[in-house]
Amino acid sequence: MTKDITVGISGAAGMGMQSISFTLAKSFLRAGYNVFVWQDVMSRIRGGNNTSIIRISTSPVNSIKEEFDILVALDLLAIKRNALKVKADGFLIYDGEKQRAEEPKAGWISVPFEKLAAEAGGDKIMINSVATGAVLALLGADVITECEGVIDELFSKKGAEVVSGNIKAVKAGIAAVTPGVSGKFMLAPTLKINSKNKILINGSDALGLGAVSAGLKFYSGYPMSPATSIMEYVAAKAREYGIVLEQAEDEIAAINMAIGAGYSGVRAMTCTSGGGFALMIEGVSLAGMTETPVVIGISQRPGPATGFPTRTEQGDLNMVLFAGHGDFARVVLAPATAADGPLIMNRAFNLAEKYQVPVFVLSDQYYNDSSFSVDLAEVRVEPVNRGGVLAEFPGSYNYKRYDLSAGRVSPRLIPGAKNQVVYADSDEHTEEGHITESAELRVKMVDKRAGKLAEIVSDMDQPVYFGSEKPETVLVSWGSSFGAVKEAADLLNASGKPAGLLHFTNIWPLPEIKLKFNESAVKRFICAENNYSGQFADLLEKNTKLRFSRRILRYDGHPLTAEYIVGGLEG
Amino acid sequence: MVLASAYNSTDDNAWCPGCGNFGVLQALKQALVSLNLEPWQVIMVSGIGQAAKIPHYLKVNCFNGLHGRTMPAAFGVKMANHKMTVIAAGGDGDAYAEGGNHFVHAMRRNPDITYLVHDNQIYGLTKGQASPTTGLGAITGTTPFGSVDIPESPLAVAVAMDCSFVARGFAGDIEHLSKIISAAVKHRGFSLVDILQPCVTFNKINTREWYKERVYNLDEEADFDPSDRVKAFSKALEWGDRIPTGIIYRHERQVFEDSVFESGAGSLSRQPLVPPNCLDLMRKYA
Ligand SMILES: Cc1ncc(C[n+]2csc(CCOP(=O)(O)OP(=O)(O)O)c2C)c(N)n1
Ligand code: SF4
Ligand SMILES: [Mg+2]
Repeated sequence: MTKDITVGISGAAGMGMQSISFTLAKSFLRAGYNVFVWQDVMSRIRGGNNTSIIRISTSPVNSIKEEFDILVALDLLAIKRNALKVKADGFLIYDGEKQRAEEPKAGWISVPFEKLAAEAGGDKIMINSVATGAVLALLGADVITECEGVIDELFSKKGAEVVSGNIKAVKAGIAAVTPGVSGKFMLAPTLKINSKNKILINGSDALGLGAVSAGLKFYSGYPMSPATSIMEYVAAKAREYGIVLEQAEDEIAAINMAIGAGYSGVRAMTCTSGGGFALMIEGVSLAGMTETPVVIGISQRPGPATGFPTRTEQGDLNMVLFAGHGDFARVVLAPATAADGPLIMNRAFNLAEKYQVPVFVLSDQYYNDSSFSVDLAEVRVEPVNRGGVLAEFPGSYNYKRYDLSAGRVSPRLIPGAKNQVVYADSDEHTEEGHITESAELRVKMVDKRAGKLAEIVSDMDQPVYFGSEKPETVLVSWGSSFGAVKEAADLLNASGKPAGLLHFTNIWPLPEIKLKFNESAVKRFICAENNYSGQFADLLEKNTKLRFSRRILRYDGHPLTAEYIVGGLEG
Repeated sequence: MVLASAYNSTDDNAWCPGCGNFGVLQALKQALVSLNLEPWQVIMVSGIGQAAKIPHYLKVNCFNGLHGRTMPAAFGVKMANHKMTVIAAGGDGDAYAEGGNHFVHAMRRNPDITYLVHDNQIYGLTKGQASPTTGLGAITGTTPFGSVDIPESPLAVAVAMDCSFVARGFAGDIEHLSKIISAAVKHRGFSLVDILQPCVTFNKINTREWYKERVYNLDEEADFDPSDRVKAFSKALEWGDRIPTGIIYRHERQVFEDSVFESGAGSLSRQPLVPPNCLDLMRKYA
């Protein structure tokens, strides 16, 4: 029996790969399995070749595999581009009547998608349901009840006939796989009870939802993949939760709008990708100078310039760490999975207000566009903490926005308080917030703004550690690489090589790192990350005692996988 | 009753003696007093330049942001505090060059913000370079052989964008300017007031006298109707021997805030923060 299966669903953009993977993922999630879905897509709306990769497992999964056990190819190009990724004992499901490929090879199963869709479902549009059925047959899993439920939710708006047609199409797909092959990848059973607290959610929604649950009140942004979906989440919720959302004319406007709202006392956020963030950078230093809380979400994609727009990379860490002229404090957080997206967002807003600094939430296409199965019992949240925010101030016109007597973080009065005015200034300023030319004040104000970093450190979480107490190999990773690197460490341990994973989601400022394993056993620290140079490894080597004997790096637009990392350890 | 002295600033004024900005400051003060607003009820947002220092020389709430980014910052401010009076200010470079794109989109949104553009047809703070409104042939630090780019007509741009209130004032006529500013603040929607502001140090062409000889008050033109967009457009283009001042175009259209806030709702910044429960939001993904 199989405990872990990978299915690729491939076709031209617009053919509905995502609806197949969603139906499968949801069905197996509800049947008690863990699922994970990544979208490998091209930057086009129609045509080309996109693949939805779904992994189904009896244990937690937050990463994909390089090869497929099953490939559903919806057109010829899908066969051409992906047939080699099917394992030797795997299967390729295609429509032999429609996709006249070269000679079918062993493991190729022809399922006449279009014919069955028309016959069973009554409409050839139901190809996707036939394909879903064919996959279910190979997995031999009894998830038909769950699958019917998912189809009902997806199509009930279109009427009962569409629902029943799709269910019939799924069943036709199941029946089309010959009994000899059917159940070939029989999944090990799991208990439905496992699904009680489980949800299927993508990273973008986890971040958007985290922001909304942190009290986001103002969102401004300019569309850019892969960040747009966060904006669309917030847009859909804006009315219900009293959030003002505006599509700005550019990213410069977006960040300045958010800072204006932040100065005015509401929780504000803007999200973009690296290229858009490049335009925001003067705004970052504006937030630093005016000590205005703002949350900036950066969903990375491979650069430079327009780069590889729909693919993934962790290549913008340096940019985020150093963006903005002058010295000032900032915070950088990077969620590992959708399960900690909300917590990261809650923290981002709390730290932004507590310390009056810009806070970055760094994710990437892999994180944003992947669907994770999340156990709600494991989701942690942080209650709202607004720091020293004041609605009123005693006296008459005596408030000082940058009061130095109060320490590095001055009490923040919301403008509109009776008989007080609040001056925030992008020029070097006095305690009142007026422009100054004083060298003495300049030094005090720089010390105030940059010196906050030392205070923020006390709020930063330690990295998490998983694995052997006496590891020989310690893999180090950050942000969304968590799933793949954890799996690599698990593989090493399973093969008798003691290993561990040290993973960071609180990226900057770095706390003094306390290692929770026996350091003397360690033969090598290895940093694995999704970029060319090892930006996080550089950061750690510069700021901590950690030193790496090797960096495992990937920058082909694909996420790290356990196989890639284990392969990188050899040789 | 609010007294003009309530608006007195404690900050040192850094403008050149005789600068037209003093007239704008005086007119703005008078307008705020006539509107009976207390300093704490007003938020000014400005960019960078000589003009953009104006909030420091008043007593008001102030977000003095980046060069060119006045409009977006003011929009964020207004959305958090839609019950307050938001006035933006900056120079011609700030508004029409670095902030040109934002200016156009602010008019599309139509938030209830008044934008005072101190138009001295030159970059003052950076010591005399050409601006988008610098006249053809003008010799400046960056146009030693004369400016070859045709000047922008910000008022015509505003009428073309269907800006809901478009006016021109002259810093040399404080009474009239103050009335225009009051009308602009009272108007619900985005109001542009382009102010002819002599720069005594760097603009030796468009001097106080030069403007004085040319400006006339539209109120004196009995048949001028500022609600007529086509007529407003040709008035907006009038420049040279005669320069119109006053309200050039005015009409009502949906204010941005009305599309997001229920009538009677208080400012977002004054609401208690009670966000929805995270797990409740997540359960929708079961
Ligand atoms: C991003 C950026 N670019 C350039 C500058 C330099 N700068 C400051 S003010 C200014 C122009 C000032 O002209 P204007 O906006 O007309 O204001 P004025 O001083 O004439 O009132 C420039 C170019 C800056 N501060 N920031
Ligand atoms: S440089 Fe010109 S605009 Fe600036 S203060 Fe002096 S006179 Fe006024
Ligand atoms: Mg100017």
